[in-house]
Amino acid sequence: MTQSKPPFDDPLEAAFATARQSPPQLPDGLLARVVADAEAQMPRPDRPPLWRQIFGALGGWPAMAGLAMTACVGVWAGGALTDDLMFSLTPVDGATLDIGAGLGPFDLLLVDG
Amino acid sequence: MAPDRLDLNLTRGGMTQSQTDPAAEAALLRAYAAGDADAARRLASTYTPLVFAHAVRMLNDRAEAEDVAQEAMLKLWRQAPGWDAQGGASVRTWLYRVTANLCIDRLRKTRPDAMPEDLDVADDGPGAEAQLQAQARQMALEEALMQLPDRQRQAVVLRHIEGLGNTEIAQIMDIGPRAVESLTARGKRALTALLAGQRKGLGYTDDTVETSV
Repeated sequence: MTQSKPPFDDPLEAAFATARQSPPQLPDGLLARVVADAEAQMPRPDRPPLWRQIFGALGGWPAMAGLAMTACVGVWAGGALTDDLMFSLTPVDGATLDIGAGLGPFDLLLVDG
Repeated sequence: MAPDRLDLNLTRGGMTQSQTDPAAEAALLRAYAAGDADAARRLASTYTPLVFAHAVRMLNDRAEAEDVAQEAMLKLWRQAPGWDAQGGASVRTWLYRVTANLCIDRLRKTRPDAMPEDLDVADDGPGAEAQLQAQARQMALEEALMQLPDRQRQAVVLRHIEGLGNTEIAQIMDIGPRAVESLTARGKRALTALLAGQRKGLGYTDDTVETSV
């Protein structure tokens, strides 16, 4: 009967082989911490300045154009409408929009259906 | 597009590891730098075990090695946006170098004046179980490794445990291949001498053949 021998005659080679075959196991939580570091260090795309974010949220240039037009009309109406002046608009279906007289430029808007 | 994973083709138990694919590594780093969280996870799961294992073997201290591994990976994340893909640098090579440098820095700060001299491994009787033998063998190797000069230990670990080729080790250590051979040869001779007195405890009987390095 032959006696079994270690796989390596040289104890150093055997120790190396053992070390190769049993690498140190990762400690609990290390990988999660490394991933968390990675996410914290991850470069972010350049964010636009705050005013541009607000500008975009409001609808951008088309919305700003409408807003400017509305403001201009408001300024004009404030100066042009007098107590003596009254618009009467008659759109479809006989609805009448009266921009009231006597109460200044911010009069009631009455819509009769 | 970033590759699904990096195939390091690690050969546990073999003597060599293939070179990594720097292009694939660079692609994954680019994906990470562009904000791909999945790339971060793939890089972390590929390299953290490698970095941690190397740190353990350099320091023989799991807690210290854990800190080193996290710090080395943190350096990788910070390096990613400027990673030089054209230079063909291997992430693995770079990480081995960073890890070893961090370990050596720590050892220089904390190394005790006297290294442990008692390498005796418990030998409670004949016919120790194979698992205990393997543990004893590993403990003896770890302690013997810690008695080598840092650069010798680094070279021996990279060559004979991590299984890297001399060319990559030379890049990691920033020395020539002949210097690597010299370091590993001297390291092995020293380890052989350190382990020589423990043959019985390590499970070697008189029928085994004494070999020299």
